Amino acid sequence: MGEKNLADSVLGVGSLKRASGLSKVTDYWFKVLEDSWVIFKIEMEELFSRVGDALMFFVQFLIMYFTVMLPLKLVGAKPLSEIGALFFAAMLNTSAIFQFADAILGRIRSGVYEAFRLALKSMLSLYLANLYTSWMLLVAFVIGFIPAALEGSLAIDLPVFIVAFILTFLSNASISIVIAGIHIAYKPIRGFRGIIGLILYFLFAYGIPYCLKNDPWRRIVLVLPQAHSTSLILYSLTAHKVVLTDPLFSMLYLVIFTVVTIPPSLKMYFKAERIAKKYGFASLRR
Amino acid sequence: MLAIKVSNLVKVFKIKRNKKIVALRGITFSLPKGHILGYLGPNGAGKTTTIRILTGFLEPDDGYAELLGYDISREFERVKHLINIMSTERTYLIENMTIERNLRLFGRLYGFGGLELKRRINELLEFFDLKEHKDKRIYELSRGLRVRSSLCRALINYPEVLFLDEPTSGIDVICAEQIRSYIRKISREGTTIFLATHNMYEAQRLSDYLAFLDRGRIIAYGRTEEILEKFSPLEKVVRIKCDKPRELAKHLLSEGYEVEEKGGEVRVRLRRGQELNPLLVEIASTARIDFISVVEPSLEEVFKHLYGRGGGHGGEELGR
Repeated sequence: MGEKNLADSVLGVGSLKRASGLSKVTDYWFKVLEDSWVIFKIEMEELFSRVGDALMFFVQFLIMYFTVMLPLKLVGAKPLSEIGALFFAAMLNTSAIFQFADAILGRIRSGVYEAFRLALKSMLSLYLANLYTSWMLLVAFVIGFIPAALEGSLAIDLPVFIVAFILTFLSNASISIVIAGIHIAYKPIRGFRGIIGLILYFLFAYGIPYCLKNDPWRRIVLVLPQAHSTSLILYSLTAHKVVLTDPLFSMLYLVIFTVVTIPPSLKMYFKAERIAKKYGFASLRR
Repeated sequence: MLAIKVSNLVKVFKIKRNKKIVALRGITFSLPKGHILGYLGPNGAGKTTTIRILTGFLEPDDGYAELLGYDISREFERVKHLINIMSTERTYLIENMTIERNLRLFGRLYGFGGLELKRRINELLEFFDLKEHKDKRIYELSRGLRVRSSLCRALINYPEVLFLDEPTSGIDVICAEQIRSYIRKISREGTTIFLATHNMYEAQRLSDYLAFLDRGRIIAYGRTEEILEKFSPLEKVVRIKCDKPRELAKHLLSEGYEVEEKGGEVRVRLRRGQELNPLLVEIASTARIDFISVVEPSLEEVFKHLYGRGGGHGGEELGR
């Protein structure tokens, strides 16, 4: 035994083992990131390979902007920077709520989810690839802020905006994971995705800001992470002119919400995966 | 070496609070590498469930399954890159992406790249006559083209075992025949194929081995020729065209043969143990023969024989 340990230490077998363990971890993450990049890149190539599709995508954002801008301009004379911020906060929250779920919705019935399961080292790549598509919110950002820039009301607190952006995604992750879990194991929600998305969008654009300004509702909506992220986005994109909540409190709330809710949501998701493996995916059951 | 080894596989689905469906009741079979297994059974017999277990999408409730020597319950991660699946029910392709991009995407995920991947994609597109359609998106394709594209994707990683779930179901005869010829080609290249189908003609023409599934149980399993020999109720069918079909039919009937006369043609069904030669002597002594042919037993007969006793439906429902 002693000889073996001596040999190990002389030959450096222990450190070799540790190094190989480390390289396994590195290889795993390298493959996960590489796969997610491949999925994202090829999906984007497809999206932009046809001018019509890329244009439609832009038009969709434009329509969504007008659904916020027109009514608000009609009822009051809010500056366009505030309207742009409301639009962007709603788009951001809606997108963040489906950040992981969209990787699964609509992919089970066609078998693509299973094809990925066979091909991928880890399904995490699929979720990450879906997360990368959030860059498209840049288009929403541009649409929301060009009118404000033209009006001359554009003023942004960039550091707070970046923090708010990241916290929005983090705090919505658990909800997205739960939606994905429900879809695979309990109730297929692919058919409702469009309508749910639309309802949430209007809720975030109109409902939450309204509630935040009116006291009986304020206490209730402050439980929702989306209320804090909307408030932070508005705060940062209007250069502190609109203050719906204490920004520091909101940031803290979003961090705590993320830390507290992600572990149970992951637990629920893994349970859903086990159910799907036992009885099949909810959308494929007869 | 065995490509697939399944032993006592059991799968039970819960459909309602107190109801369960036993989809597989302890199935056992094996398939040597490089062969085609025709996995036959009526709808709901458990064919797709078996495939979904063997491809790691469902876990069995009991039993053991091995793919290429790996235990699928514990070592599936090690074998998943060596297998692939194709079905007409699902394309396993991204619908709003072109065929070529789908193939590139999955090829890259399987670790191929550069010229090697390009060559593989071209090879597959050529093999399945899809070159002119490669820039079409999946939702733009006809059913036949979808099936071919799906087969392309399933072959992108040079799978050692390929699972095909009713690959010709719902497509026209010509296209189905094309798909069969592709399956034959793939098999010739050394791929082991698990072919779940209820098309008897297809199974008989393609399979080296056959397994008949009924209500979650394998009721017959073996080499195709052995199955035909063992389970076909008929030895042969003899078709005769002659100058006096009615008289010939009457005469053969009186001699104890099972005879059918239709449209000037006489058909004699020879049961096991009945010799062909005495029949030919009887025919020659009764009529002037214009045409005679001997038809070997078909798998359809075996199927009818095996499922004829009121079987032929899916998994059995059980109370808890």
